[in-house]
Amino acid sequence: MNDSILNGRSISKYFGGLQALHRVDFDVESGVIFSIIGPNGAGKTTLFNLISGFDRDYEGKVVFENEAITHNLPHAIAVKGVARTFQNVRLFKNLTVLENVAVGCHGWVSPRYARAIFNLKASRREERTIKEFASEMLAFVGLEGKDNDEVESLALGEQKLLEIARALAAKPRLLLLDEPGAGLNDREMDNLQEIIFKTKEHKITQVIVEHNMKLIMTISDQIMVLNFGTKIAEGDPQSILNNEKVIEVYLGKEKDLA
Amino acid sequence: MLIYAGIYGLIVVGYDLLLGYCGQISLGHNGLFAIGAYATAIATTWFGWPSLLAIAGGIFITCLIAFVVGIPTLKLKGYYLAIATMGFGFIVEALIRTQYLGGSSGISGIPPLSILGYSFDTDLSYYYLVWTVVFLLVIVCLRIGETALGRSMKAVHTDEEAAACMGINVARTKIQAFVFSAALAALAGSLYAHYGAIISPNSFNIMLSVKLLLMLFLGGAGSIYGGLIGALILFALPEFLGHLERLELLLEGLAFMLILIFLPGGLVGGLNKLLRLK
Repeated sequence: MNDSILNGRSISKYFGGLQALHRVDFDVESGVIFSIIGPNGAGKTTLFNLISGFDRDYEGKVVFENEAITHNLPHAIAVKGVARTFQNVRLFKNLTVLENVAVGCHGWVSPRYARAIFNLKASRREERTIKEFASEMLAFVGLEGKDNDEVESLALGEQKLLEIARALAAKPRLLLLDEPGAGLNDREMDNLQEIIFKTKEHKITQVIVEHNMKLIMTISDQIMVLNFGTKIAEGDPQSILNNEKVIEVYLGKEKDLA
Repeated sequence: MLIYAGIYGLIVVGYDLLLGYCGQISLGHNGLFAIGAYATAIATTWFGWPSLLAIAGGIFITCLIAFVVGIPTLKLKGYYLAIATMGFGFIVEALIRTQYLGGSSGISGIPPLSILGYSFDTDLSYYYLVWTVVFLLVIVCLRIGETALGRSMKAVHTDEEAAACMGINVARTKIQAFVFSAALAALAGSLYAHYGAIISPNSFNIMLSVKLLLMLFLGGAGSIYGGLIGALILFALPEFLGHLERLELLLEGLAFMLILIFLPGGLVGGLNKLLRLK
């Protein structure tokens, strides 16, 4: 195709009689920050769930790096290079902070029983590589020094950053961030923005669902607007800000925020 | 006593990977233990196989059965999984009670375990053998549990969907843990058959799986050696009780309730908490 990394073709999704997504098409170019905005219930998270294989009951086609991943299982999609975070933080509470990030490395380490049992040297090397990379990712999001903390001792803002670190540990080429800014204070928001820009420098494409318009307008290269499961607009931040329809259904008085 | 504690400890250590780490319950481990024991007993007694080959065969066939049974069963969750695996245990028990497999008197005349001509026919030699095996496998299980594999199991335990999004094949992780724990149960079964020289269906009923649970939760699930401590305590109990032996079941029942209510992390978990407070 072209240098796009993710394409959606005519994606429709029903929950019973309710149409959550209606023939949505989109193309995400490699390396960009692609944002999806829209009112609550517009189908943003639903779309994330379809892309990451969480939900495989939908019509249409999802293509990642020119390869169809439609209806693939989530772990298969993850291994291909798609990582995600969750709207409601979903960390592994029985693991420490560092271990959570280490789990993210699973896809490219693919640990084996035989190695763990018989090859002490290789298994130690593997463990060292994982731990080093995981610490690096923790430092990347500014959580260094919290390696052995319990997940639940972290503040919500830190937990959201930890989720990003865990997703980045998978060495993804596409990162799906589901409302990374929800519940963050101003200082944490600035930090998040910096992390998103740093991630972009590493040539990782990011698709972001977010409500904070200030963040969206600052970071996005391309914005898609959904309303009741239908795409109503797409374009660069400026064109979205001036789009009559978008102002009508979503931005409204929020416009002056941006 | 210590020999039996070691044999049961061996099952518990593998069982911990499945339940403590991966979060998948099995009440059918008595069946897996039985298959290992009967396979070894039959191979050595009826067909005259050497011990090592018989043990390897027992482990192999148990793993194979665990794999086939595990694929559909491990899709179930929580108490559905518990009941389905219990069903598996019943089936095995019913099979070993048939006359083809010795009926209720079981199989007797199992030769002592011998490796390269050395026969472990005294209690002391068998004691060393069993505890060497236990020691080695505790190390192996720690290496599995405390590295990437164990982390992926724990991830599956807390949140299967999030784990899958990290590239973890959830179904495979569960099956592997189940088959691995089956291998340890089979090995324990083989050692059990060789030691006792006679095996009968009564040693392989559901109570065994229940005892495994008690050992694991008493010692502490998710720590590997916790289950071993639990096994030792449970086997030491009758010795301390002496003529009060009849209290055993009562005490075990009490321990079950008290541990789950007051010390969900078991003795190891409680100890860790105590150490951290200081």
